Amino acid sequence: MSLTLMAYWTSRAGLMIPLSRRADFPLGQPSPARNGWPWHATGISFFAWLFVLNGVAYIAYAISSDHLRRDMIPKMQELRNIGSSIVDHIKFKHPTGEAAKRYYVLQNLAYLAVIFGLLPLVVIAGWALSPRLDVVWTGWVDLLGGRQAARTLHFLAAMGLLVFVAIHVFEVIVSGLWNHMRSMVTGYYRVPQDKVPVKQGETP
Amino acid sequence: MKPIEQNSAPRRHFLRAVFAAFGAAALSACDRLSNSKAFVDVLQSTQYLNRGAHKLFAGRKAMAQEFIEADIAPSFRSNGTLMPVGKLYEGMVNSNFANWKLEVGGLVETPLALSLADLRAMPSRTQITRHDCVEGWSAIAKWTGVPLHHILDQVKPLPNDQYVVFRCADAMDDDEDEASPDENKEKTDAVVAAKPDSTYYESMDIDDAYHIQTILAYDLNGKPLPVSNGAPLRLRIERQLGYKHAKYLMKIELVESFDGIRGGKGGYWEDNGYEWYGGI
Repeated sequence: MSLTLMAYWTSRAGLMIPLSRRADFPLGQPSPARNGWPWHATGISFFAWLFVLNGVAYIAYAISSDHLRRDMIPKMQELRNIGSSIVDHIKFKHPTGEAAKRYYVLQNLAYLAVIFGLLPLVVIAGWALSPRLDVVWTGWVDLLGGRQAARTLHFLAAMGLLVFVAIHVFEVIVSGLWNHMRSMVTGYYRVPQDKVPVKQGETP
Repeated sequence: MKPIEQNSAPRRHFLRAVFAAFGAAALSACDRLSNSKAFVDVLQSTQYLNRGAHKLFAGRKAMAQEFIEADIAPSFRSNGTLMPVGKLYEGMVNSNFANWKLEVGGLVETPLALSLADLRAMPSRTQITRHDCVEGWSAIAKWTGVPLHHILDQVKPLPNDQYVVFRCADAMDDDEDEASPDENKEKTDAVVAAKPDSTYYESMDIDDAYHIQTILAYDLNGKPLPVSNGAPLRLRIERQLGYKHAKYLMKIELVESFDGIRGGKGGYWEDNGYEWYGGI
C-alpha cells in the first residue's frame, strides 16, 4: 500500500515537473501547488517512515523465523535448474503438486533482489538526496557517485520496484488469481494437481 | 487442436474498461486526499520528525560537506527571481547598493541597520559548498559572507526567540504576463509600497541561525554577488534545500512564532505547500 502511494507521489514529483514546464502542457502553467515537489517531500517522508519501519520489522522476522533460509534462499540444485525454470515461465507452465507449495527459483531471486537490493537502494539513495544527512559522515554521498548519481539511482530503483510489482501481479493473475488471493487471506491453498501424463494413442 | 478464440475484442474492451475505472478511482481518491487539509497536515507533520531525527543522528552542529576550488561549477545557475521587478530595486542596482541597508530587528535588545561596507568590515567566512535545488539540480560554488551568529551577537536576541525571518526585495505577487515590463515595474512598486509583505521571505530555527556555515553572502566565487544570484546579499544555509537560501535580503527579524506573518508557514514557498524544514 505504501509502495503504491509512494509510486504515485514519485510519479507526480518526477514526471509532473518536466511536463508542466512545457508551455503546451495540457494542465496549463504550473502553480506551485500543482507541481509535484511539495508532494514528493511531504508524501514521501511520511510513507518512507512507515516503509522503513515495516521493512526493518519484516527483515528481522524473516531472519529470526528462519523464513529467509528455509523459503527464500534458493538451493544449489534449484540454481542449477534455472534454465528450465526460465523456459517454463515463458511457456506459462507453473509448478504443480508439492513443488507448487514452494517458491520457485526465479521467484526467490526476484524477492531477494527486491528485499536486499532495490528496497535498500531506494532508501539509501533517497537519504543521499538530503543536504542535512550529508553531514553524518562527510563524503558518503560521493560513494554513490555524488548527488546527481544518487538522484538517478533513486529514480531507477523506484522504477525497478514498479516493474517488479507489475510482473508480480501479472504472475499472480496467470497462475490462479482466486486461489492465490484466497490463500493470502485465509491460508487455504488448493495445490494444483500434477497432470496425468497422456499415454501414446489415448484420447485425453 | 483447439481453435484460437475467434472474438476476443469484447474481453479486451472489458479489461480496458476495468483498468481505466480502477486507475481513475485510485487517482481521484489520491487527489481528494491531497486536497484534504487534515490529511496534508498529517503528512506535513513528518517534517518535524525528520528534523528531530536529523538533529539526533546528524548532530546539531555537524558541518555540511565542503569542497575544493577544482570542484566549483563553471557557472552557478541562477534560479527563481533573476532580477527583482520594480524601480525601488533598480535604483539600488544603479547606485551600486550604496544606500542599501540590512535591517535587523524584531525581538532583540539592540536593533541594527548595516550597510554593505559595515558587513564587509565584519569577520567573514568563505566556504565551497553544494547547492541542492528541489528541481533536481546541484551546483558547487564558493561563497564569502558574514556568519549570521556575529550579527545575532550584536543585536542580542531575547530569550523567547525561536526563529529568524528573512525579508527580501523581490516581489512575488506580480502578474508578469499581463503588463509590459514598464507597466509591470510601476505596478510592482505599487504592490510593494501598499503591501510590503508581497515579497519573498524565508525563515530558519535558532539552531541553524547559529550554525557556523550559515552566512550572509556578499561574494560568489570571489566576486561581488551578481544581481541574478541575489545582490547585494543572500543567505547560505548549507544543510538545507535551495529555496531556503533567500536572495535580495532586506531585513532580518527575530520572532517567537510565524503567527501573523503572511500565510503563517514561515516562507513564500511554504505558504504554497512546500515543507518548512528543508533538510528533507
